[in-house]
Amino acid sequence: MFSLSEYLEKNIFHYNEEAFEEELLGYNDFKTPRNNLENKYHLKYLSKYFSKEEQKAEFYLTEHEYISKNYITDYSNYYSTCFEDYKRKCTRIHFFTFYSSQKGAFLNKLKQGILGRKVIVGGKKNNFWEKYYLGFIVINPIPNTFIGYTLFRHYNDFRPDKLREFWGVKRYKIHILGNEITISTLAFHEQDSNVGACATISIWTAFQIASEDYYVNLKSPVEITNDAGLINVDGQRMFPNREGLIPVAICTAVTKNKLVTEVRDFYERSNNSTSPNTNTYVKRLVNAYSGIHLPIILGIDVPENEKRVGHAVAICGHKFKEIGRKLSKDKNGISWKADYTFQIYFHDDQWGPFVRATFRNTNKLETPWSEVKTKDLSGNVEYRNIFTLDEKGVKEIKNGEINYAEVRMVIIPTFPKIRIPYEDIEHHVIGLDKLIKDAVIPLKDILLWDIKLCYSEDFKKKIRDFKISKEDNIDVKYSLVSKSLPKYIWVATLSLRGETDFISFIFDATGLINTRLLLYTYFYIPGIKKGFVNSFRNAYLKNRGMSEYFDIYEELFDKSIMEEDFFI
Amino acid sequence: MTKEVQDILEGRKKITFKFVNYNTPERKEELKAVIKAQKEVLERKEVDWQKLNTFIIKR
Repeated sequence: MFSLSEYLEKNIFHYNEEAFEEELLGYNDFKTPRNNLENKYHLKYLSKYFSKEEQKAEFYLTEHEYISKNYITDYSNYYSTCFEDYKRKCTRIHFFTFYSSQKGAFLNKLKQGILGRKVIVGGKKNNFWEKYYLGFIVINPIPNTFIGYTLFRHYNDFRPDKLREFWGVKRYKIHILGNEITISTLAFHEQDSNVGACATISIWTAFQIASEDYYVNLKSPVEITNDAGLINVDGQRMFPNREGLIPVAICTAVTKNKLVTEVRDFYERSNNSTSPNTNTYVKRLVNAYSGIHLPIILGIDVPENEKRVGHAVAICGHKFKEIGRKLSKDKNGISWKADYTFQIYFHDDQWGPFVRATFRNTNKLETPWSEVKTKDLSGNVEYRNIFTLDEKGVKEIKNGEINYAEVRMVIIPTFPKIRIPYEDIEHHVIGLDKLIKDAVIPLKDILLWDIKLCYSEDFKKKIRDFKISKEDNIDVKYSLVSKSLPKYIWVATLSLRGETDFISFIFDATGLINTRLLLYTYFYIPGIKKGFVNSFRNAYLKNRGMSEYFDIYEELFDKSIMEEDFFI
Repeated sequence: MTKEVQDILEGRKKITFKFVNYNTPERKEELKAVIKAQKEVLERKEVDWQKLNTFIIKR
């Protein structure tokens, strides 16, 4: 029996990349050959993630004999039936950032945290766990694919950035040394091809958030792969899985867990098409569906020496670039907030959580998979992974030929009640954009659209909290927040260059297809509504019978006539 | 926030809506571009399932 001090002394270590990798072999019960660690992308990723430039890990605490629910389910379904002995229990490793590398100073603060006391740093009282705890990794006692259930705090938790949104996250409870703490994150897991197909983990990740709803189960990788099909696409066995999954199998596994899927593929369109390119379309879909917080499965081709291989990741966040004074416009002359997305964050089971990917031209995506093709003096071709190079190395090879990942398809898990897809709303917004820009010519160059699917309660909260001046118009807000709305709504918001919201058009996301979906129109700026409504009604008589050309016009007019409080 | 938007919010710059009459040959011509764009948006939902199922997620 150890005292607390003895226990901590024995189990707290200074984080050092090389020493940590050496220790991992032991935590993994020596099931993985040392040489295999060199090829493990996760360790390369972790060393960057915990570096001084990123999350700044200083110490870690090991917790042996840890029972991981996720691992033990797969253990009982698969590993326990092997001839070789695999342990039931795992090792959990907790990581901490700290202002000093002095172990004594850290232990002092940690003890105060364990006792539930505030720690004083720079004269301010802080909660130890909020200030220093980074998250944990479970090391499973199986060969090679040993990164188990992992929870790491996301970047915004430490360094808030208003241009960056992590929407596919939730609060997870963690119990550590008698303390219950919560962190905002999304669980991560490495793929083990013994118990799962390649895309299994991206589905598992999507279920993390969906399982907050009582009717969606949080299944283990074995259970998800079983749901994907009886046999593989080529007739081969599902376990161990060597051939991978096709998109339809992913959709089957998602649908068997009481969700539904929206699938989009990307292919060349004719030159005179007004459609956006693949990346722009992905940006719009990601932004649109981010409001329901379910991670989105992205199918990409990743480079692997001379070849390209299909891969799936789960998107859980994105980052915008600054919106300048002059708005960018698409081929139809419309400005979209989503088009300002320049990075996405995803869980990549082969690398790690919250992996950054940057959009490049057309369908190209710069991810840790990006490779550079170089030639040595003898003309021999070599492929180098750009992620593993330091800054100097990246500069040196910038002129080389870079093989980016390429976007192939997207699978959006949604709730069955959401029957109206994004494109049906964009269809209406194209009409609304024309109508409004022709009506307010002085503003036409600063109007920016943002289409989002969201819970009506979230939208009501946004309206409640929206303030444009000291004089808050409570009556107007109340007329919207008191309305009965469906659980899921599409909101198309027109803003003035993204600086302030201007008008929101609220559509029923649970409605029937090919029916009228517009529910309300909300004006954020006092005094705008009257002029809008009067002019609109006056113009209507001249435009009667234009539905053949302009269906949203008729819809807007009919709603405004039939429902007195349609304009709010 | 830019001065232009600040002026709108604080009422110094008035916003006047003047919805137009589309029932003229010129305006109807303009709407054709809108209709084309709308049609193409809806077409994007259509999945080429034969191509899609050649994409095998293996890695």
